[in-house]
Amino acid sequence: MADPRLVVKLKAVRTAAGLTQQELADRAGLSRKTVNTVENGVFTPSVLVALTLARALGVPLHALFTLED
Amino acid sequence: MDDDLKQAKAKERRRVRRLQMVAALGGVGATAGVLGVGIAKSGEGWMALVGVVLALAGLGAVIASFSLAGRFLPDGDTIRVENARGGYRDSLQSQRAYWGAYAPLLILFPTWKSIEAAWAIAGRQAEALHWMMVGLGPLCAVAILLVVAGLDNPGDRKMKRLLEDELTLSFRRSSLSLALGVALAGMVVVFALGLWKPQAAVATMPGLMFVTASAAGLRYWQLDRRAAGG
Repeated sequence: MADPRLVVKLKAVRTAAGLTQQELADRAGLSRKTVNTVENGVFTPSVLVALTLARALGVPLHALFTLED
Repeated sequence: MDDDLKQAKAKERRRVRRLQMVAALGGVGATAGVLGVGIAKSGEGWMALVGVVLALAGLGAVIASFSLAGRFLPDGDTIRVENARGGYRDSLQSQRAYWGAYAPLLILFPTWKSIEAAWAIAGRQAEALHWMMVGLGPLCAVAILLVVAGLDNPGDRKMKRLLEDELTLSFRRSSLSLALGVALAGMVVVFALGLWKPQAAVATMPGLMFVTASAAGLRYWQLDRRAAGG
């Protein structure tokens, strides 16, 4: 289960980029399930996976993940 | 479609066809083996000899099918062909998760036979067949646990990389933790049972291994299903 302090904005950024979960997964070399569970806050990714997602979307890491104040 | 991909698709079709033939050989071998044992036990004279020969031939076919299957497992071409369709990693991981869900059903019968055999052995009424059957259920349970732990051999390093990612590793951790909890709780029950009737404790052990492996397999499947949801 993801840490409740983690704010995940992956879904908003992905949909803004016009990508489906599968398209993002293919682009990042991850499984669609990984994208889905990260978006839904079920799974907290490692720094490596987080950076991979950020790179695949062409955004900085803090655009996808932030810590709640 | 480029020529390379066409060639990979043709190779992939051949691989699948050969794997199906090997699986059929194993199925025929297992059937012949069971029939042979039955004939050898019930027949006399030359019929018993026919049974033994049939059983040995069946066993040989099963062993041959296992060793041949290793040559026709999914490989780099499989990955290429399936990746061209998209979502291969997900479907591959789901196949494994489904296996974890239905494997306990497949090992229910061998587990029951192992419990019967363990009961007979602990009660000092064992026959040769009991000694053969007693390990069957636990071995099947260990096989499920090995798959859940990712310690089975998928045959290809690329394939292994597709199956192993952070998410599946977290599934494995969660599934095996649950299995450990079930095993520990079960051991307490079996220990208490053993204080009352040692024979019952011995006979329950294959059942405990079945429950442990089933818990791991079903938990893995449940986590995979939840992750696949939209």
